Amino acid sequence: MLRPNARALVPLICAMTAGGACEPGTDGEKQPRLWSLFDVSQALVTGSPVAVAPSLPQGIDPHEILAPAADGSATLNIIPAYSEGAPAAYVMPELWVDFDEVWVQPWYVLVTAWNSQSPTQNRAKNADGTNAAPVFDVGPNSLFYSPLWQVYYAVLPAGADVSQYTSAERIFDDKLAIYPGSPWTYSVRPDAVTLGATPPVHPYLQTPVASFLSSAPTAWVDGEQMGYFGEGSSNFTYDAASLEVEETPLYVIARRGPDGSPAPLGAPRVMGSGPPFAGRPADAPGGKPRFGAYSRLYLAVAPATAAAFDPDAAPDAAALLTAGGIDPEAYRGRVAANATKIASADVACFTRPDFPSGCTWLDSQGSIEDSLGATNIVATKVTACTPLVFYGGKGIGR
Amino acid sequence: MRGRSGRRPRSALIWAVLAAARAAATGQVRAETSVETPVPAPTGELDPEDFDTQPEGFVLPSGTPMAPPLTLMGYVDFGFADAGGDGTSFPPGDNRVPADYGVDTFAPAVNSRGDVASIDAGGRATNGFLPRSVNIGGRPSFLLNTVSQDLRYQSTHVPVMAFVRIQALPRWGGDGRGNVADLLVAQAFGRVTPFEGREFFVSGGKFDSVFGIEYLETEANYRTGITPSLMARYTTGTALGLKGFYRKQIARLWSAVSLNVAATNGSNFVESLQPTDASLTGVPLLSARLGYELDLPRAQLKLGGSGLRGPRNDQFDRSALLEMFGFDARLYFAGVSLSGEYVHVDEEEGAGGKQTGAAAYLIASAFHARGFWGQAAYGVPIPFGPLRVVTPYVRYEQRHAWFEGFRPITVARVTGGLRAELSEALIVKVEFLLNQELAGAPQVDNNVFTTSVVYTW
Repeated sequence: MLRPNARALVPLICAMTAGGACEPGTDGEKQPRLWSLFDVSQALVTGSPVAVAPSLPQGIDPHEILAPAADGSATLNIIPAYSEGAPAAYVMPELWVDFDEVWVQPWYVLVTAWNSQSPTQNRAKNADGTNAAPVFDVGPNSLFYSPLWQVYYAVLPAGADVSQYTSAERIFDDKLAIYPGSPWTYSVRPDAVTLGATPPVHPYLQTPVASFLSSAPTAWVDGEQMGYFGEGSSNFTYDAASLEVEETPLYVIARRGPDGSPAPLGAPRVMGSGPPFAGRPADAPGGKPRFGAYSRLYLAVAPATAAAFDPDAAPDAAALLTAGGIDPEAYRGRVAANATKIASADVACFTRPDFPSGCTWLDSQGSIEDSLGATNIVATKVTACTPLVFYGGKGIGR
Repeated sequence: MRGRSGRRPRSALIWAVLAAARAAATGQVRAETSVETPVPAPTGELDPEDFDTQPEGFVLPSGTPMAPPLTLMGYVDFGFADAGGDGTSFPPGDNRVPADYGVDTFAPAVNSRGDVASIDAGGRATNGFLPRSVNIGGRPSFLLNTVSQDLRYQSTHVPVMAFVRIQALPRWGGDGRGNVADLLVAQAFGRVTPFEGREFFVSGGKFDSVFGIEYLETEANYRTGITPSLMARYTTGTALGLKGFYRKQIARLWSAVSLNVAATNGSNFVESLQPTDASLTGVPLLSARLGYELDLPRAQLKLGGSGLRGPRNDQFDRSALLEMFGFDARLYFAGVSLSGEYVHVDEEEGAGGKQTGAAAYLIASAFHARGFWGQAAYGVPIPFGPLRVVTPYVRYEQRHAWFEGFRPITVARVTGGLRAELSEALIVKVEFLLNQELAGAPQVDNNVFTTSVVYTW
């Protein structure tokens, strides 16, 4: 043990040696971290969870995000969920820990002329006739990378060589006219991460998800080519001045474990539709939600009587659904707060004849907030890019 | 053999007498912020270093007037500035976040503190790589850049000196923020000379940088021109801690070597980029400069190499290192002053967010910078009229820097100006900054015309 006056020299010794020789002094401090699909692909190899944080100690299993193949490639998983009382699904290509806010970044689409009614009508073309690749400036090596973009249309001058426009710097230096478009969600990806050979479907209902979910081979970031997924437009909102993206709550339903800490049930998460306890109705004109692409995970701590519905384990309840013209898969994993009987006054709603109406379902932001109250809804430090591809029981736009 | 050893004592005595006489006559004693001094602006005056000659090394003749133990010094820097565009380096239409990572926010400097005309990013988020601002945007404005008051106490009985520099910075805070006037303790330290007759000093407190040479002319009354270089943000900040200086004269070679070493809370980044008054990691940064001087009768050459290493003090992780090194050179002959510096900066990514002297920010990104500046000045004595010396000067500099994950940017600047000394107490300077974005950053109108009138007491 060092004498007290010798211990005082430790910091000085630390300064003179390699930094790693001393214990980090970061207890209790924020540790901002971003996982893009490049990082999640690596986590698949190592098998370690991503987005581990004190508020979400189990983190997220990378296999939930990507499905690995034997050849080292992987496909983007469709993750089942519920939202506004109906089946939903999303993809989750990026995660952040300890980010209080995330911003939109500019994404430039090159056009030869501006048409405000149809901005993409005049997409600039490569020599082979394909659309010129879009350009962005903040890549996934930066913690400021964001898959949430404000699209701008940059008008090339007549006779311009489109192959020269591979960075935002060139667009500014040439003082191209720039017109704002819609916000879009695009996630950059390794070449070996794709959507798969067959059109993606809802994991339970096996019906197609949104047609806009797509894969493109090339965007330009600082002169470097990078593939990306297209995950929909206008599926988030942001502050026009600060460019800060507004969060949607994504509820992880949990119960108290033996030690009193929340233990997730492993059930499909529930996508909210507005700020917590705002009572805001879902903004989804034409069944296309304007929320969800950026969410914060909340632990929603349900009572001990809560459980997720499994049609295979409750065939009588499943039969009631079928008799009512409902596919039992539309309830798979949906959590009811009164599913099991513990106290004599409890009712086990999965076995009641009035199933499913006799259940207190935790399948929307409103029902979770009303049933559990603010004290049982705990924000985590984990946020995610979670664009919905299935909403209201069907693929968006289908 | 007739050499330096036979000349130096008499020379030192002459300089000391002149210095003491000047101090007594004007009350102007150079702030004893460091024993290492710049090649001076070619004013035709004595080298400021000679005013710093230590009393332990010689004995003044009886009857020589002495500077009083307590000395008050100071200056007012009043200016007028006009920056191009909106006074920032943010190009119109640029919507990247953070706004300060893809441009050089320090480029449109308007005064000797390196304050810029504006840092208004139009509401876009920034991440703490910002200078201080006078918030004039692209509108020409008079400015009271600095009101600086020094207090220096030199004990007559023990070899101890105390120095305090307080500065008031009256500013308009920007839209909706009203008037703000920061009161800054720029320096406050005590200095001990442990061995009589040796150029060995130990200082404790808040003091000048030991890295490079540009810190020597941070203050408006010492700087040849007006604005600092593009690399000054990394080397001219004051630091809180302990410092030691030793210089050995090698008389037969007309030379001296010196070593300046410091252990401080933070680095020598300017205060807007990091807090200086507390250690955020509990581990000090070590910095040092090894210098060589060649003092010929008609010319003076100074060379130096600097290094700095330790945890970056804008975050809490003591394993996130800041490493810097640099080289400097100064040559003074026939009224011509040449000086230059190369600086190399590497910062590892930190943890726990970023804490600057201005606010807290989200991420302490990994960062790298390389750059240099070179300056030439020529002092023309004016033997008639109110002018004493007129000094035209020109400086060229380049800075190449990048934050992790962001495109590297390369910027350059040509600074030209004229300095006129109307009396010992009045300096007038006029300067133009031609800022250039060479690569990585969009071109933007951010050139600056600025002036400075410095009243000294």
